[in-house]
Amino acid sequence: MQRQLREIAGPLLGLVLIWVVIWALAPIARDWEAIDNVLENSTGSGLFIMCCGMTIALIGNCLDLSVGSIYALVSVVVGQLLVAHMFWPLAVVIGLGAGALCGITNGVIVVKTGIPTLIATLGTQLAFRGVADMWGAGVDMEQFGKNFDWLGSGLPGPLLLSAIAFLTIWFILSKTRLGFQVYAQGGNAEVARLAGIPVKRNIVLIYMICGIMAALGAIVYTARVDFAYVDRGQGMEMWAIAGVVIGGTSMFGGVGGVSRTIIGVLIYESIFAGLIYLHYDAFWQLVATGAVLIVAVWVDHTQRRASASRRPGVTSAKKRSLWNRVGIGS
Amino acid sequence: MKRALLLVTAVVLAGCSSSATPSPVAPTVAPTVAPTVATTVAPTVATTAAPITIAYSGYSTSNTYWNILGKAAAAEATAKGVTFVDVTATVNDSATQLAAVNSELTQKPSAIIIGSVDNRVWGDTITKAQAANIPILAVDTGIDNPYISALIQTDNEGAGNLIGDLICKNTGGKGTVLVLGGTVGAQSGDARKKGVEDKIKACGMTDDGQYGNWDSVTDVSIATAAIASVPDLVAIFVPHSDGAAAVAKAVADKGKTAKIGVYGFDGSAAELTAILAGTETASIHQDNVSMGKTIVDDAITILQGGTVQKTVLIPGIVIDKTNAATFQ
Repeated sequence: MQRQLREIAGPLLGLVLIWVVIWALAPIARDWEAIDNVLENSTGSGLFIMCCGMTIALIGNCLDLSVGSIYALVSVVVGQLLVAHMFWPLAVVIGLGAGALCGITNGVIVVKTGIPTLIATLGTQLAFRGVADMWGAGVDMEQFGKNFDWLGSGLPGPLLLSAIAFLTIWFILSKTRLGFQVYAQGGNAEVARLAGIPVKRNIVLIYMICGIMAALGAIVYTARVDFAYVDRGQGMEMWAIAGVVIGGTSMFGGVGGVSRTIIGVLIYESIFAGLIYLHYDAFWQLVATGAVLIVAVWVDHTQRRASASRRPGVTSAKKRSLWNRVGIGS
Repeated sequence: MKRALLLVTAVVLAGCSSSATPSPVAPTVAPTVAPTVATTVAPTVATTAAPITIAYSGYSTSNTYWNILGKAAAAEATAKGVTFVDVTATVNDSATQLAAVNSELTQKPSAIIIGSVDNRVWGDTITKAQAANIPILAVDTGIDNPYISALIQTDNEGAGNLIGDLICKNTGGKGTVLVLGGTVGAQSGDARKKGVEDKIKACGMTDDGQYGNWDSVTDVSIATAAIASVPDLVAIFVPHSDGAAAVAKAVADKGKTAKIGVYGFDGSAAELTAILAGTETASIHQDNVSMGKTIVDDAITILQGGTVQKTVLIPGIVIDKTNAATFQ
């Protein structure tokens, strides 16, 4: 517990500082509605839930660029089923299954072909969106009923589902063998493999979990707005990565946690809302988030390099292999 | 790392606070199409009895409005016995659209119809088309180039004016209006935004302009943040259907429908439902079926040596509770 608090202390302080600045400059934001808005947008858009999945993916060094398209695809699948008057819990389960299937597809492609995760999930990003278009373009999918609506409206439903997503990922990462193995193979896949960890199986599982979380996020947002639409989730994978990395989870694998992701997403959404509260253009949100993201990755990279150089016999081979895996290394 | 992150976060935010220009911000508006539309064009296309192939590239395959327009165009082409090649990309990305159109250009179609994602990227393509004597027609979004043989679009600025007038009327000209645009420089979104802004400013209202990038999640985030921080917010304009319906639902969830009117554009099924339910105040109907059909007819006319009206601006029709049912 103490260790986890230590891990999130820095980003948490950053979040507090952001709010101090907002409250100092925008007195109108000094009430619950302003905070409630940030919580609602973090949870109701499905971003936090998607970020939970992205957390385990990045820790396991399994970059997933297809989550935005899974978000669109699941929105269409659930929308079509609900329009066909399917019992909503069943539609939700099938939607989650569709997300899992997309994730398994990602995992199998990565494991079987050995191509970099960046390229593999870039390919499936296009493919999943194409499938979503095929099924959903031009189709009206709306008015899903009050029970389904509750999953996304206001704060309680999205908060509950976000809490479930958080606890699930937290439990997997901190209380299961899989979680231990995800950290190990994210740190160094080759060493993990030599240690007997079923790296390939775990990659498929990681992508499956990431797909399910993207699906759950899509379901929450579909419920929030009460209609489904194929043109959703474009660029959302970048928001998800930003939320996770700003929280302090490493882009290079092996380090991080879902507790940090809570703070990361709140920082992301607070910067966005804060700039609106201060009456600045939404463009500045992109600039500010981009700047914070770059610095977060840079600091992490520098810290790793310093840590590696302090260990005798440790070379930069690990880092090289990580960059190679995403197709950037030489 | 944490200390650095904290420091940078604060610096970035503070930096933005001190250097940014407070909104409202004057939008960068692409050249709007002149409302005087009677110019006719005599294209220099050789009249031929050879089979006609019309290539079409719309905004994206996943956009409902564009889907209907594309289907109408395809149906008209089939009815007229010409080949219709749809090269619309799945994503609304201007580079992807440009690549698709340029690829199709190498196949030497008889004419190309473009519904631009970004109307400023077509310079080289138009030069190549001109060299190959292939007419280019624009639909929904104007392309500022004299070679464009015909443009059919909704009078976006005029439709924005209609919404602006309605906002002034419904609010008595008092309060702040959140006017969302699409992406900066997108001709249709900018024209809609400008149309609304001109009218609300004229009637003395405060304009809070932002851009939602045609993305409903961003629209909702901006709208809810504005609700929390602008006490006299009385209306929100969203320039596209998905965003308008999503914002209407978000405003209703916050119990603010009575205080804040939501105004949209396109009038999709979800918007019509919201208007009838009273959560959205009004939207604009665009006659996309007619646009798709007419632009194909124009292409055929040009290829057969005829003349067409160079610019046709179709007036938008306001949809509100009184007439929404007729559009369902």
